[in-house]
Amino acid sequence: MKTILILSLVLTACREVSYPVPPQRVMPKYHLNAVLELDHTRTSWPGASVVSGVLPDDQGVGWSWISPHSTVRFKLDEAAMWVFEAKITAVEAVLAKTGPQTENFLVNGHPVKTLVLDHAGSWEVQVPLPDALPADTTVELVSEPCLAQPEGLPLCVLLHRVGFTRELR
Amino acid sequence: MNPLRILFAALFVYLMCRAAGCLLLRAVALRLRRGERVFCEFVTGAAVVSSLVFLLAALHLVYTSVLVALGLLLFLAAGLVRYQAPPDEPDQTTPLPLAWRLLFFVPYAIFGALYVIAAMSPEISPDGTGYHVGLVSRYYEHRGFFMIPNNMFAGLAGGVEMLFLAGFALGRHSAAAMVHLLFLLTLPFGMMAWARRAGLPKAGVIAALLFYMAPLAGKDGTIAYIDVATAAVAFGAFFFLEVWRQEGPENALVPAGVLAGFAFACKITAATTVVCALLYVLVTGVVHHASRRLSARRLGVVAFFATLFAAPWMLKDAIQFGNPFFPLFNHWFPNPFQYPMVEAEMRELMTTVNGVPFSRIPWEATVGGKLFGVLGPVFLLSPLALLSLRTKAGRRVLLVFIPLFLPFFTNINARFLVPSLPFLALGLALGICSIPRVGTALAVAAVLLHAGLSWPDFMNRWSPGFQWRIDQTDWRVALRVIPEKKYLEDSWRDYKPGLLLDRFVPPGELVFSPGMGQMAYQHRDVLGTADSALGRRAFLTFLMPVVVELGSTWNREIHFPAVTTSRVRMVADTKMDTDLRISELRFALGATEITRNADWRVTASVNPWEVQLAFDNSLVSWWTAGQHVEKGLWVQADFAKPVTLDRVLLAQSEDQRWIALQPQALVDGQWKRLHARESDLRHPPRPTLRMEVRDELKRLNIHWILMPEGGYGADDLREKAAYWGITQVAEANGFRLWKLN
Repeated sequence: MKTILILSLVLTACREVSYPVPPQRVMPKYHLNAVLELDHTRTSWPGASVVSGVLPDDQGVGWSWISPHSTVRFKLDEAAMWVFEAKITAVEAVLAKTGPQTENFLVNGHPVKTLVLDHAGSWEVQVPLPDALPADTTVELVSEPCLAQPEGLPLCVLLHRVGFTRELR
Repeated sequence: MNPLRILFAALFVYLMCRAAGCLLLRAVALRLRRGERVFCEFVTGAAVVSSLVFLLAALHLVYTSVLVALGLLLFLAAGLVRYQAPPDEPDQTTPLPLAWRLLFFVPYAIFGALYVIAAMSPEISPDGTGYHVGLVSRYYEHRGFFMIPNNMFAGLAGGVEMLFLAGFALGRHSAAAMVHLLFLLTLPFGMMAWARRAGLPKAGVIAALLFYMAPLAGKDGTIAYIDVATAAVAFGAFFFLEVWRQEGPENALVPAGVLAGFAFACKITAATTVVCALLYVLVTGVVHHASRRLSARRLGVVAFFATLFAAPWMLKDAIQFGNPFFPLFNHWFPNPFQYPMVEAEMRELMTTVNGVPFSRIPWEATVGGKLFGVLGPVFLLSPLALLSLRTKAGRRVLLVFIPLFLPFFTNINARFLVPSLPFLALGLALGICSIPRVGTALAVAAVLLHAGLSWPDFMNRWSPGFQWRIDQTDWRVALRVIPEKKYLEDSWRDYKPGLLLDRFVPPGELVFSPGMGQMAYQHRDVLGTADSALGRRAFLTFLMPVVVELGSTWNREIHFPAVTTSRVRMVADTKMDTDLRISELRFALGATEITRNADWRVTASVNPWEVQLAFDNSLVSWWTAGQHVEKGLWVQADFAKPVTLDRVLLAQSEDQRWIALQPQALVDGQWKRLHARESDLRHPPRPTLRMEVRDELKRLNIHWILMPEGGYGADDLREKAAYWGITQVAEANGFRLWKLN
């Protein structure tokens, strides 16, 4: 079949070929993600860095435990209106011992969202921010209560991703 | 790969060729002199075996078992024929003195050992892994030919590659190089056989060694390239023509024609062998007062057999690419697979290698090395070949040298000299030997000097810096004492990135790869920047966010008095060394755009296959002329019914701003030039451009980018990955593999 098609192409090469107007393409909305990804199969924003509280993901599982007070810094390209977003997981074993947890998200010291984690599972946050963010921005995650460890930092929740997104125009 | 298997594969292919050659030469009842069969049977058999493998590939029967069965069949048939055939004619010439035989066989054996080590080593040559063996490995996987639209090298005639395919089936990559080595090892015997017939056996020894030990021939002949094979085949055609001229057997024209055609099948630039063979027959006929009818019959024989062995490749290209000479002559045979402009650029590139001017070519090709490979300083004596013009043999050799040499000017890489090199070597040897009294001594001294200067370890002393020469002389690598995989990982930058592709890229997904083109050791489809129309499109599209002039939009509003017409053309009014590209072409009356509808038909005077991209409402997809813009080139919209319009709106990349475009309308059956004025507006690259480009690449079925560190745009990918919407999946040897999200 392919051969016949190509032969037809050859035979018609000398004649003027015309085509109908193709379907008109519609440009989708594009979003820029300035996000710290703990999942190594996704790309983190190059200007995102952990300041404190996010344990290293040595196993490459795509998430990390965070301590009661974690801080992540973002260097953003330009002042713009962003949507804050984060994905965390409340862990059954922790909730069973601590009871419901509270997760506070602060951007540059201002609270943007509080979650009450009353059951185990994934929790996602998306909050449009009222003001343009400065180029140097800090996100804090404050968790309580957490599960104290005999050694090392207390374990609170699992962090998958945190950062900002905005529509590119 | 087991070294014994590699050796077995090469030996098997060699014996196949000898058997097929024996059958062909017996079939035409051509009697040769003793000692000539080594060369004659091998080269003619190579043509036959190559054609048989071509047939198997066309029928998708390339299985190791089928090839072995074919080989055994050839052995059996040749054995029977040999058993029944009369003995060869005795060689009437005086045998070479022992000293001369030693002069030949000692360096032949020493260099031969070096060559075997080099050829047995894992294949890492750029063109070898890129396509000579790269395509062969794909053909073997698919059991034969299949359409490879995004690699123009798949359109090159592959006469030698068919022999590689037979070798690859049995001994994989290194077997291909070993098959090529067979030609290097055999050709000196052909040259000496010719010289014996010419009554100049000593000059034959000198010439054979000059060719055989030339660093360029040694390098080329020990990797999976095709130039030495082409030289052997072209020389074979000449040899049989000489047999015909000297002794008169008409049937010698059959192998001459076969080999002339096969030379084209080996390398398209060797097509001059066919012309040369026909001219040889014609001129010889005139000189010997042959009747017109006889001359016509002889020409017919040569032309018929040349066509028989060359035409299958043209037919394949015509069927697959719509151009019998693909990837060349795309201007004459336009097709959707390669832009004529890329071909023109490559021609330009190939005739300006490293900026070497014509006046420097003799130096660089012999000593300097800027043309990638050297013949050796002894070839600086080449003008002495003119001395050979005093003899008939010398005149014939140099006359044949010319048509085989001329294609070099289409590509001044030194290896394009190889097909004509045996003739130059013969001319040089004849010339030096003809110097009264001291000629022979000088020739021997030249050969001994050539041997010393050509030995790889010694080359650094007279030609420092990078040289394209044999550099792998470790027998442990050749014999796999050092494992093949370790050698490949340690010695070759492109090996590991290739493995990444096999590991991470699903089959069927294209990888845009501006810096790595090896196909031999991985199984995914990589798209280079100039290997196809799609590759060029992908490259320019990829550059849009990287090069401001490509990413900025040049909006043109071309006004003219309102006209009612059913067809409008935008006609180029400029001749420039760039292509014409149009992202969007719209029509309007006042401020109201004439809405595109399904009844419209659009076309272009060139590259009509992509014209819809100028009408798809996307700024990152564009129609391109695919050739340098010239006056009169046009794009046309047919509205199916008359519409009234007074302006054309064009969106192009900013780099297109210098190309004048003139609107024309079809009025009363005539194309009427519209008196227009133009107002333009530049829009800088959009913030979304990288993601738009990513999506456009995905539309082209490109889901991956393999980018070397330092490659054009590599920094942008790394620093702006979030703006591209891509993820780095893996990294090896400075190459990053990006997945388009």
